[in-house]
Amino acid sequence: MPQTTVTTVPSFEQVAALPAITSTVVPQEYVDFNGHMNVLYHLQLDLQGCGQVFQKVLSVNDVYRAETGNTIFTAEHHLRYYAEARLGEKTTTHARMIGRSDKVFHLMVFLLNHDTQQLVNTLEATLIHVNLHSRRPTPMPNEVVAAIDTMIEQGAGLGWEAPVCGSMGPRR
Amino acid sequence: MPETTSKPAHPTVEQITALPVTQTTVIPEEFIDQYGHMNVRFHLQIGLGGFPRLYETDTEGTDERSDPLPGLGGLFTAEHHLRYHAEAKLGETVTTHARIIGHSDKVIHVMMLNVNRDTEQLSSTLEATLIHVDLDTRRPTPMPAEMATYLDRQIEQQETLGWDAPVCGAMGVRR
Repeated sequence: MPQTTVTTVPSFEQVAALPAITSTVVPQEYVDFNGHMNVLYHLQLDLQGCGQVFQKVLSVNDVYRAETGNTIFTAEHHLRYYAEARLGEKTTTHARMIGRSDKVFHLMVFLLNHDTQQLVNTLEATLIHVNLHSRRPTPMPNEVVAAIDTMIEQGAGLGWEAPVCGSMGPRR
Repeated sequence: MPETTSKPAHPTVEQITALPVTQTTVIPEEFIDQYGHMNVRFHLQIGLGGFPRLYETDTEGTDERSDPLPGLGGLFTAEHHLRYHAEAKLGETVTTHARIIGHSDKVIHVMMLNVNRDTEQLSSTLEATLIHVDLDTRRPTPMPAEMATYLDRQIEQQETLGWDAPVCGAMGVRR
């Protein structure tokens, strides 16, 4: 079942208590005619955070793909833009796991602006473990499931709810 | 997608392509990732490139408005929802079609639908809410009346299509 929408947004300090995964100073080429980082680059930075979670936390990397023939495809993304990031400002990404089934997991990445001390945006993602030959969903192995469950537990202990949109996630 | 939460039925390719094409993209090599398909970043990029016009003399896309109306501010994005339904591969042609779902005096709710014309499949949808802002204060401000009138006319015309845009249900315009 879809989760309930969470409208309370965590503070900068709450998100910053999660480890920083990537760090980027906004370059000129990310800035659009409105004088702020364009939405395309919010997604790009958020996806760099996702990629680090896949590779470093879940160990779904080139070796995993070569050995298992499996990888992760995206089913859905929900992005919320809360505050601007401008030229030269320092941003970091932080991640929290929301839930999973045997083939699907639900992840949220947060982008912080350290110059303004604001949450810039969130990326909520529904991700599917797929076989690259069949292009169809396939169950995740135990070690990936265990890494996801550890992240879910860490998130549950934070004392604040992830601001999910309420219409995404694995079927239960 | 059966493995994720239930979704509204999406319109057929025939229904979607009855809408005007706002952008045509032949997928180039640089959009292809290690999995041999167009990367999600480019689903967003082509969806944004096929953003509908918002007033009579506007052009498609999200670049700077070509012929700004008096009183037109900036359009800042509040939310995006992307659903990836089917892959798009190198050299395939994707057409983007757009629906205006609703608006208030300060907020616009639209959906772009990317159709793969080689496989005749809906490849992805991009649902967006945008806020009309004063570029000096960076705060929401009412849109020009001419824009609101144009949007109303588009919504009215599109209501005769006989299908609802497959919205996520978690976004929209506060009334």
